[in-house]
Amino acid sequence: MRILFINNSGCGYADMIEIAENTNIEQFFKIKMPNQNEADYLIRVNRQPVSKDYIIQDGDRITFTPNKIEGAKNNEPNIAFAMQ
Amino acid sequence: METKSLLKISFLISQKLAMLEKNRSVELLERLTKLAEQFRELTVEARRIALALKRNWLFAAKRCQENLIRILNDIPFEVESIKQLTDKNSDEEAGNIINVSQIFEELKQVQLEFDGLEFNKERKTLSVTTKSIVLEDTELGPFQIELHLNKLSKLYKENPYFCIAAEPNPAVNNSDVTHPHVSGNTLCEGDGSVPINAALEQGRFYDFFSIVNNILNTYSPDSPYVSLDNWLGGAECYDCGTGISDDDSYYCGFCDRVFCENCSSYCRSCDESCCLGCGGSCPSCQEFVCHNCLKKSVECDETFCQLCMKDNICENCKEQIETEELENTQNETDKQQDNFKMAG
Repeated sequence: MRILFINNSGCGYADMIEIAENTNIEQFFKIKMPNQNEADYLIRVNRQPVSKDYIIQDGDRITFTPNKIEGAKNNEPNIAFAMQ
Repeated sequence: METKSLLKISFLISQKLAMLEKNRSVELLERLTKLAEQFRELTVEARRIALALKRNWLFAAKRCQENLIRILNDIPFEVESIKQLTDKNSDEEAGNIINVSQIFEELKQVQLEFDGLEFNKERKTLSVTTKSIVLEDTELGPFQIELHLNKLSKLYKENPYFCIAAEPNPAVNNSDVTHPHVSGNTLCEGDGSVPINAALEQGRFYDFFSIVNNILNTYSPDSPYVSLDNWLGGAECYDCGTGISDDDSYYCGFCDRVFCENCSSYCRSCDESCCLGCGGSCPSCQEFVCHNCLKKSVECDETFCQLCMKDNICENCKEQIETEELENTQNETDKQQDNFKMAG
């Protein structure tokens, strides 16, 4: 089944991806964000918070947003934006 | 906010995002033109090198090679920035083209999770207020994240949002800095830059406000405008980070920053105080001058101080021009003498 995945800790672009049926959100997080702690992220499905055993449905929109995002002091030319 | 108002705002936003879509193509064209200009410059430099080698001007050839390196270094960045825009065109497949009802859902979620979603009809701004922000025991108060809908369509040119301290507690040495990463109400996004732009482009407003809120709630000690250690006073040199007292600090008017004695100098041409990064040595007289007083020689594109140039031409080029003129005059005299002999 296909879902829309948005990772706001990376380039933030949406990707339609294929995942196996009956995958829950905890398993999906471990696949997509290896070595990361779930507690450091705001995990949403269709804009709503869900429990970790939520079974992902076809067409769901899943968003991972880090709780800590480091700002800086210069608005340099947005090459990081380009280097996605 | 009532459902009807939210729907109206959603419709307005969808119009702005449609304009942004058009502006993306305009931006793409501008970036392509810039890239084409860089390739044209490469051709010019190649011709110059060929000419310099033909005349055995090895110094001039070396100078041209330096220009060549600069252009070659810039090209990958331009290519990447173009690729970035073209890659986004494939977003349609990922379902990123957002409609009014999706924007409405986003705004509803923003309203649910942030206090007081407000819309200013005159200024066309959408704003939320964060909870009071405390970073390492420093109270910075709540911030209003104000998104200017009219600026959404100009996302590639200007910042469409501001972070305004609702109960400001600015740094003692700089009242513009209301947060270690906010100066003049502008947030320096750092790691958040890419996801913020992506969220705005795709109309994911809940993500946008969340990301900005999360940046405001994070302190990055490596890159603040003013570190929290110095929030209540004291300053540090922008270059080397040394703590400096008010008496020992040197302000650079070109980059608007404070430096210690070792990282600061003054322009020998205009006498303005200037940090080492905002000036440079004139290749001819080796004196330190600010960027404003360094001018390009129209012949070789190299920069020199004003004292080492005459009529916008550096001494080297002037010498070359004079040599060429002398050679031309000599050739003409030789020709005339030959003609005279033949006639005789």
